[in-house]
This record gives sequence, C-alpha cells and structure tokens, in this order.
Amino acid sequence: MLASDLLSELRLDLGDPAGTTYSDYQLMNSLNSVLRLVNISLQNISSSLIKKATTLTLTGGTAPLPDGFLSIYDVAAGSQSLLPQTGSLDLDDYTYRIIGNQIYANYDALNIIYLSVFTIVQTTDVLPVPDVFAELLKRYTKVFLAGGIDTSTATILPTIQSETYMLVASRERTKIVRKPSFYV
Amino acid sequence: MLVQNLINLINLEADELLDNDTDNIPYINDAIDYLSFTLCSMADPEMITVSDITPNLVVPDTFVSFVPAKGYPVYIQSGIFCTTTGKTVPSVKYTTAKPHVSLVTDEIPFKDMYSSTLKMIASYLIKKKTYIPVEYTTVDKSFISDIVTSIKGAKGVS
Repeated sequence: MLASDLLSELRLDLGDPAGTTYSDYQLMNSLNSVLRLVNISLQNISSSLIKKATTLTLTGGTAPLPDGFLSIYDVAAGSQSLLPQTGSLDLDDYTYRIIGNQIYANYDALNIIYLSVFTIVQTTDVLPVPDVFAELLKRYTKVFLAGGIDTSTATILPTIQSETYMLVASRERTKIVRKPSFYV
Repeated sequence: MLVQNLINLINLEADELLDNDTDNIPYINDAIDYLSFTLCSMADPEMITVSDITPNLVVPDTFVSFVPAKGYPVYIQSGIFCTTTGKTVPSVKYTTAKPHVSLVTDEIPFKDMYSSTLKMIASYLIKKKTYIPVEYTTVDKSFISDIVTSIKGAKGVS
C-alpha cells in the first residue's frame, strides 16, 4: 500500500478531502511518528518484518554497517556462524565485533541478518509494513494529529506494541498440527 | 460583470447618494476586501492558490494565509517565504485576496452570484458614511450578516 492511499483513507475519515484542515505534511509527520513506534515494537520482538539480510565485503578486516542498521541478528562467514567477541580480546575465526558503525571480523566477507529502521516515508513511498497495519496506522495517526500524544507517550507505546504483536504473531511459523492422543 | 454594472445596482440600492459613478469605486474595493476575507476564512476553493514555495520567494501582495494555517514547514519573515528545511516545499496551499478595481470598465473579480453581496456591502458602507443618524443602516448590517451566514451554510462551513 502506498502512503498516499493511506492518506486518502485518512482524509475521508477526517472529513477533510480537500486538505483544508490538515496538510499532507501534517498527516505524513504524524504517520511517520506512528511508524517509528511500530518500528520500536517490532524491534522489541526481533520481528522478521524488519529483518534484512546482506553480504558485507570487509577491507582490512572491517566494513561499515548498512544504512538503516538497528541491531545485529546473525553473523556468518560462509558456513561458519560467528559470535560477538567481548571485552578487549582479539578476534579469532569464530568471532566478530561491532564498534560504532563498523563491524570487524577476520574474514573478507560476512553474511549478516540485521534488524532495520524504517526510513522517513514520503507520500509516494510504499508503506514499510503490510496492509493489515493500515487500521492501526490510521487510528494512531489520528491520535497524533489530535495532539493527544504529547503527554501520553508512556501509555500509547505499550498500546501500539500490544496491537503490533498481535498483527505479527507467529508470522514465521508454519501451522503446527498436533498429533491425536491415540496416534501410535 | 463589469464595475459599471455593479455601480448601477448600488445606485438603485443606495438611492444614488454619491455624486458620480467613480465615487463608488473605493466602496466597491472595500466590499471586495470584505468578501475576500470572508471567503478566505472558509478556505473557499475559489480563493486557494497551490504553488511550490522556494526559500526567499517574495510573498505575493494578495497573500492572506496558508491552508491550513499551520500545516506546512514554511513561515514568513520580512515579506519573504522561509522554509524550515531550507529546501523547496512543494504543493503549498494558501488563500489570496481578489484584486481591486480602478475603472468602471474593469471586471469584478468575483462570480456573478456574489454581485448581490457586493452590492449590499458597498451600499451599506455608502449609507453608513452618509446617513445621519447612522442607526438607519442597522438593518442593512444585519442583512449582510445573514448573507454571510447563508454563504457559509451553502459552502458547508459551520
């Protein structure tokens, strides 16, 4: 779904099709605020929705992390899975280290899976979440527009989180069929 | 509609209180301003201009306000537009007042359906300036208020 499609639905809900009460800038500003909270919610559960995979080429044992990097989920060099090296210990063939925006390892290339942040969405962009999020996004965008978020961030984040969890629950799992009790 | 046509209507309404036709023009311009502000306050589509705002662009003389008033990363300082990002802000809506007239052969800058409203406003202003006591114009003032309320109702503005 394009952001402009969601805005169109929002405008009908708000009774403002001509954009004389809210400009696109105000709607997009509030929508992006909601998306950031959704992003935090998804990050808290390491949702596959914000996971990305890429291959980094290391020069001199280091490479910059990709744009939009939030946190690391998995690091591998070929078939070797790497673990984070702690403290000041030297890196070996089984470890990696992240300092600032750089990743270090004793390899020429790393396959990483990481949790990403949503970039600021423009009206012509595709929303970074599935269409099923549309109702959540519309509802909380209206809350932001009404200014109700100013003093209640602490209360609205858990609300968005619980709704987000419901929307992505069991997203990565296939249906589990329990064997009947008399099965031998 | 030409200014002369409106003057003819005003002369009928105000009993030709002014010495000559061109004396009506300042009152017609006052009526144009009054109706402009009234329609701008309703964000009437006829009054809205949409344009891209580049930093340091000179604010047009006819600019009234942004629609919505605080809906854009744009502000005005010393007669020029400034953007909070320093970049061009596309598709900004703002209202503009209609231009004044100066000759009897000029076109009235509103649709003909507003001619009665302009006539009443200009006539009221002429009578208010001329009548003694001024209370004689109270009914006209009340009627103009009714017209404005009627315009708002017709345009779905509460």
